[in-house]
Amino acid sequence: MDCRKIQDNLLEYQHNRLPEGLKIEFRHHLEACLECRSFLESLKLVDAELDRFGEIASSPYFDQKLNVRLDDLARQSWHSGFFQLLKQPYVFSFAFLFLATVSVWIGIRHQQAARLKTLEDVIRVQEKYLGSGFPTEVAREVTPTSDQHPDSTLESKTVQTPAGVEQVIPDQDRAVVENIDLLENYDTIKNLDLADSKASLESSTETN
Amino acid sequence: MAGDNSDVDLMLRVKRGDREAFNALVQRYRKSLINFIFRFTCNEAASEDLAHEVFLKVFQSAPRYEPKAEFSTWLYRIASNASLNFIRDQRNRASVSIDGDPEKEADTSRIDLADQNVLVEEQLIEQERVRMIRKAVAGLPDQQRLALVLTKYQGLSLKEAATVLKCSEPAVKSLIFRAYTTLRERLVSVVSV
Repeated sequence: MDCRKIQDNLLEYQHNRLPEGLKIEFRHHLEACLECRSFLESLKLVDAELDRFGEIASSPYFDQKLNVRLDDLARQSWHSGFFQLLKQPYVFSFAFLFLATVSVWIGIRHQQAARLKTLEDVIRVQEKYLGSGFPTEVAREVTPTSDQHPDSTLESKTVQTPAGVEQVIPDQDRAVVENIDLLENYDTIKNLDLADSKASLESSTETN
Repeated sequence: MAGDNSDVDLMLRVKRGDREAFNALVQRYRKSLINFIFRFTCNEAASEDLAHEVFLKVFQSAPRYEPKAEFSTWLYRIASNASLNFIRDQRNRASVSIDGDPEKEADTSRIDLADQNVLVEEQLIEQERVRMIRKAVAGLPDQQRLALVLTKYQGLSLKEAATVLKCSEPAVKSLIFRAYTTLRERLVSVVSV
């Protein structure tokens, strides 16, 4: 075995990675060859110096920091997944159409509601179509059919006044007219209004 | 218990989204990974951040993990790629600090010293020696340094190192030999033959 081959494998010899047969061969060569022996010694010294490189310890917050970053990563992947989904043309179109429909519906409802800001507005609209002192029960009896629930008669776009005149209700006022709760409490509200006005009249006469 | 499982078992559990198994893997490899990055990049400050990056990468890549090779070689492969990218970035910014801040280097060495009771002069000599060794290692070509760190410090076999380095075993052997001979020349003042 020549010196070149020995020197190429000296690290293997030093780190005990050679088969037993080769190891004996190396030992014999090193006993006889001064150059290879000194080369091996220098490699051993380098190896010893490399052991001085040292090591570092992880910070006590390593795990906590990692977990925070993992949580961030999970959040980011959820967001990116959602936006990736939105990038699909049909999903985007569906979402856009849905939002547009909801917006239009909310807008129309808002416009209807804007006209009826106070209870007086509601009563005014009801009186306009149902007449002053029009009892709820009468309203329910308008155009009754045998198989319908009494409330369902209010689904008609027309309503009969006490005089028997059929009157068409504009769409924007239907919400008020169809408001069954208000209709049911109509008499009570009216009575309360009357009671209030009587009480205020009495108090004013007493003060006078 | 997660600690009783093999790396591959844990990784297969991570693949199913098990954070506990992932934490067990982190506990197992945290120290060796940080030190691998530290020795390869010779940058203590960045080692922990890079280790975080590597673990995050492992977690992200878990769904694609196939237990074909040892988990450790897969981990070191990710770590060596992350470290190489970091070194290249540093070189591009032309602010690679192999020498680093002398005071910081001194601090690092001071932490590493096992015996705190040695004389100040001896301490300084030791610090200088460690600094020279680190500088010599940092000055090695990337592949040689990687082969050296993997086999010398991380205890990988030639076969495992070859898998990480994506080359043959004789090529790894050659890289290590060249690294040793280069270090022998560079550390001539330290190594008294």
